[in-house]
Amino acid sequence: MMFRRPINDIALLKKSHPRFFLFSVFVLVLYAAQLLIKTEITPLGYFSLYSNAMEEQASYHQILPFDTVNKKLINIYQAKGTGFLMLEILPTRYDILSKSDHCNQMNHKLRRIGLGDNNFEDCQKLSNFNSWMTIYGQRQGFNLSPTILVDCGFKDGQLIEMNRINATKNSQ
Amino acid sequence: MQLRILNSAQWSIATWKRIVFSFVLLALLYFWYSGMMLHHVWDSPFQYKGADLTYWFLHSLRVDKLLTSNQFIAQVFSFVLISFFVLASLFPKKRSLAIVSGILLLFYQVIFNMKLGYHTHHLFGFQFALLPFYFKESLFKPSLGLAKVLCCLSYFFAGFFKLYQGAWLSFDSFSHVLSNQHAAYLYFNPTGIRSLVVHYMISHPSIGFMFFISAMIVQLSFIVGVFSNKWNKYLAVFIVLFHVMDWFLMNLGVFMGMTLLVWLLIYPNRPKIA
Repeated sequence: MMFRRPINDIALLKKSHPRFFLFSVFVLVLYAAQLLIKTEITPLGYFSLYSNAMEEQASYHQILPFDTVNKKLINIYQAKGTGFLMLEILPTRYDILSKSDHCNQMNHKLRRIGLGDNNFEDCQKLSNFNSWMTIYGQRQGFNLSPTILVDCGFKDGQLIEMNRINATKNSQ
Repeated sequence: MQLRILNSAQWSIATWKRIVFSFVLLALLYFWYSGMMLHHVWDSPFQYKGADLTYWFLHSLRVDKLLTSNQFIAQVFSFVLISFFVLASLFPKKRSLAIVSGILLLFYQVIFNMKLGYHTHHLFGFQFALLPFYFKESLFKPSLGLAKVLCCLSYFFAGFFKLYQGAWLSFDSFSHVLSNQHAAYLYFNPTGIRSLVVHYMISHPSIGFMFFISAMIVQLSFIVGVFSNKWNKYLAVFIVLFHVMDWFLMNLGVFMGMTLLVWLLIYPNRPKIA
């Protein structure tokens, strides 16, 4: 009963607007293909965020800029509008991508379908990240010149560890 | 008289188009204010394409290289993008303006994500919401239906992945997700309303668990929207509630723009009476 009406509507659409019908089928098949070959699924994959169970951690980590002159973490949540998200995402992605195969976190998925990202340019460019982050921070209204990026471990709103990114893991 | 009142309560397609394009325009201005336009990240060292074929396709056409070759070009692109949304709002009868706006928005979305190093999807709701305006008026209803199906499938899959991947089987998982999501936020803002609520939910995992299960059920319920228009108004309310909670609890206000999808569900199905 529930399916009868949509099936009738689809049959009518196929008859009255065959080109639009083909377009709709193409879009839906594209989605289904992405789902089947498990490439990045845009946008069906977005909401798969938080779908895996998360275990309790000794501390919860976030990479933040650290002011080496005043010896304090920079409060990225003072950025204008929703700009703090950029300052959350950019250093985290730098950390993840610089450790990935050819700086492409999804390279294993590309290789699975017979492709693969073998370029070296992306990694070369990433080596400039720290200096670019200073420029971007200034665009966001922060003075990041005397700063370094640190991986911070928090628990219950308290900072319990801090390690410099790209450096030997020594608690500071 | 009654017919006139009934008809006046129904906005024309042009009015809906004005509302939808103005909404996207306001969102783009907010992204500009937040430092999230192409000219803010044009020189970023990232050029992340991941495993998404759309990104590889545009990269192979060198569209990303062209639009981020220098700050002037990136800035002009941002102005052009905004201008097209202004024009499309002012001249709703011009379908070509809507199509160009949509293509520019897609370029912005893909290249911004490349330069961010992360394929965030806070703009895909706009693509669905704009879809019905790309077609001739005779195709308005079918394209609205397609956009609605895509919207409902997205929310349904959100619930489906949660169900399938088993996050709901772990009682205190959502408390840990909150601890992780707000790790630094709670350090910098220990006393705000959001922090107090998040602290409370972290220390009471049962509330977080119920909240997570409720969200999953609500998302799964979007499957009815694929087959029927009967529950559209409820689904519209769910979308608003979901994104308000996403903003408040997860601090993901950037996704509030997705509430534009509501228009696909509240557009009246009955035709205007002559």
